[in-house]
Amino acid sequence: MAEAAHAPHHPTQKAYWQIFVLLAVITAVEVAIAYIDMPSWLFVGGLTVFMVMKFAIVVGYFMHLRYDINLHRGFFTFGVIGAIAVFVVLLATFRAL
Amino acid sequence: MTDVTASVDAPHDGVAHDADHHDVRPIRKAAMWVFLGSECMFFGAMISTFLLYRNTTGDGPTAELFNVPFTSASSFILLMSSLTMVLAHAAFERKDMRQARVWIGATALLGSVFLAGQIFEFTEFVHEGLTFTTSPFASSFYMLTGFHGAHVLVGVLMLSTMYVLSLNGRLYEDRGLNVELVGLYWHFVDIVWIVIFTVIYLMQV
Repeated sequence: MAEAAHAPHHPTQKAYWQIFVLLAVITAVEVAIAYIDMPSWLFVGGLTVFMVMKFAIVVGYFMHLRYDINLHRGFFTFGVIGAIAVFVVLLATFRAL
Repeated sequence: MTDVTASVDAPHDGVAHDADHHDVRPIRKAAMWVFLGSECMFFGAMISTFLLYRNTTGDGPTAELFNVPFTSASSFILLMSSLTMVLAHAAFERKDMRQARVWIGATALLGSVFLAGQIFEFTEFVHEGLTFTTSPFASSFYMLTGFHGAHVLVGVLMLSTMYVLSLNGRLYEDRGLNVELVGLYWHFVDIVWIVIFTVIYLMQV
């Protein structure tokens, strides 16, 4: 675990700004989708895809998990999978899926 | 992290210390990731609860009350605070303490603006008749967004403390891990909002 404090390659400042612009554009597209009339499966599916993209970009590049050790990735991934499991089990239990 | 953090928690008087032989930095960082993983499950349960009760509004207001343009602006502010936080961390790694202080201050300010927006939004909703006890929909909404707001408040307090410490020259260059851990917490608050904004606001309108 000693390498935990020595992540090798982080993005440059310019890259951070580019990532932010990308996140802002995705957010704008999300908001635009909310006002467009479309089938519900496409509406929910599209918003979910963009949400997952933003989530992954922030975790990977701003939280540097992309450059971190496997142990930390494992801890966080376990939490995310746990959250999805809670979501599925709870809604399935009450037949809300 | 670069070698900036190599002597984190080492004494500043140059005296050898047992801590040098028992480096707790990897444990602290791993503990933060474990904490954030557990927080994912916490918010996962709360978001699921909201979705379960989203249609149980009784005679009270529904999700049509949500002001998406206003919340979009709040989301943009929180997103921007993630950028300023990562720039603060990068400046700290370069040992550019002045830049780091500027970006830490900017992050705390943006977080405060987000909180002010949330207080304004809650006040508007209460005036429209959506109180905590109006319906299961209202209770689960306030619980979820309120807990997220409490997390933002904790983050703002930590950032403000770091800002004051840096003003007093007590935010040492070799304490990079502290900045990184606060940064991880702050980005986590942002990713939770990414999910809340999409699932609670955009998908319900």
